[in-house]
Amino acid sequence: MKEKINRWLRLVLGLVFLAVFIMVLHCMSISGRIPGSTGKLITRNQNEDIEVYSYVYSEIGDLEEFLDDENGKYGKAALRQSLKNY
Amino acid sequence: MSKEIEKLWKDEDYWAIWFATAIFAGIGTGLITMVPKINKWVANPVEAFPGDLGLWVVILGIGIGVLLTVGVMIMQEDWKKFFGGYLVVFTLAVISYVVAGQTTIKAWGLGYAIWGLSFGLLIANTVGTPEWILKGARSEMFIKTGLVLLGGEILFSEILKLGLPGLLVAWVVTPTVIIFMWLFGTRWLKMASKHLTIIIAAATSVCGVSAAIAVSAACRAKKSELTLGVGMTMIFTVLMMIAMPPLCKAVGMLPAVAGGWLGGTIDSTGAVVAAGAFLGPVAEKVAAVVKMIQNVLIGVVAFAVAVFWITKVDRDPNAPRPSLMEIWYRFPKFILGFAAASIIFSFMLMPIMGHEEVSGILKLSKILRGWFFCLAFVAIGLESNFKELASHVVGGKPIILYIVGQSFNLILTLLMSWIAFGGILFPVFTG
Repeated sequence: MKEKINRWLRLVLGLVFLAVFIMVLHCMSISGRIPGSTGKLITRNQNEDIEVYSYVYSEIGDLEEFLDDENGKYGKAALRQSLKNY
Repeated sequence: MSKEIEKLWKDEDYWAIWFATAIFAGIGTGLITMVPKINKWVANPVEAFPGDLGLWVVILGIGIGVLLTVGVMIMQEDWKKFFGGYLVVFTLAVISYVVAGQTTIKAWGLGYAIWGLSFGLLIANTVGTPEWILKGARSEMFIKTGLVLLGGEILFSEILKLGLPGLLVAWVVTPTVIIFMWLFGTRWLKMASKHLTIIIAAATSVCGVSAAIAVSAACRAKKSELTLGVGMTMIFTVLMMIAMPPLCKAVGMLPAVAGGWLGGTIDSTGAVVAAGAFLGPVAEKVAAVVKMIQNVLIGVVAFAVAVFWITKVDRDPNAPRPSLMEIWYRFPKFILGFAAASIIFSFMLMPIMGHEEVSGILKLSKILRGWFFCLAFVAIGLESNFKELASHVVGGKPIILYIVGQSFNLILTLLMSWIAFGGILFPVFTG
């Protein structure tokens, strides 16, 4: 019985640890407490929704056109438009 | 021979191909028109399920479950126990996706894989995974099906459109680093596990998690070896994503050279784009393209590792060289499914259906592939224990291998990126 309680206690502690870890990361990020370039990078990733950009990039078939194009089909404006679909 | 034919409906390797074929066919014929993807959220996890997305996630879970259960049933295994356990694994996969969707977590590059593993490991190493849940934690089945789906995304036809600079960075460095790390791990460090050596080498040189999964399945590695390889890769990916862009800026590196360097060395596509974006649009584009070219090598590397394992590593040194039939019998068949998917999409569907339509199919299959990988990581976590994981790290050899291999990768990729994008062999790319 004691062993069983111990195991459940460890599970709860593990979950609490993960929750605290996420909270700390989140609070540090929104309060702008992460110093220097790391802080800038994380803020930028948050604002730009970078994961979705990479998703859209990986959809791109015509890479030559993609590389030559900034304002057209693969430019930021078009990418932002595509983001609305996700 | 009849046994070999029987494997078509009794072997998990073949079933991975049938499952993926059913999914591709379902999307292609319009039977599957949407696949739910968990939304990002800031402070309230309920935001992850806008509108009726929650209902669609339940439908998806049941849909995947029914598809897999049919296979389990035909393989003459206990399908009721599988389905019950699977529902728990799927629920944990949903939780992993929700946590990974939190904006800060996402910005740090901590994806569903790390959360799936964490939740699985936490349960397995505290209260213990109940036997009935383990029946549904078929990690290999999830991985192999996900890999065949991934094959469709590897479009060889697109390589023809790429410029030489990207190819030079991605394709010269990758095989060189794999061979270097294999030799360093097996001959210098004398690592006990050859499987772990090749998993770390592939993850470092190709594209992180996907490559680690493909190679571990190709050489039939233990789950604990894959867990360790993936865990190390994910931690270092976050560190590199954070440290490399400021370093490039500090030394005044040309954006295109920096992009090539980031694209060739950081392991996950999301982190590559995030790091490249920090240096501006040119670096972002070059980084993304170099990564995409590198990703094409997953299948080639997995195929080569499977053959190498059968003919060299697993071979009894006193036995004669295995015949072609022997190689065929022992070859992991889902790798053929992976290669076939890639070839069919690249050279048949793309010219016949056109880019738009193929893209439409891949958009949905890609989300499903993510779900299969997420299920796999939860299942691996549920089946692993810390003691076994710790036994691989004793002596620190895997970490030494990673650090030395990654350092070699960083130096070689920087050199090639400078040659390719720095105006040495080709004109400087300015966007």
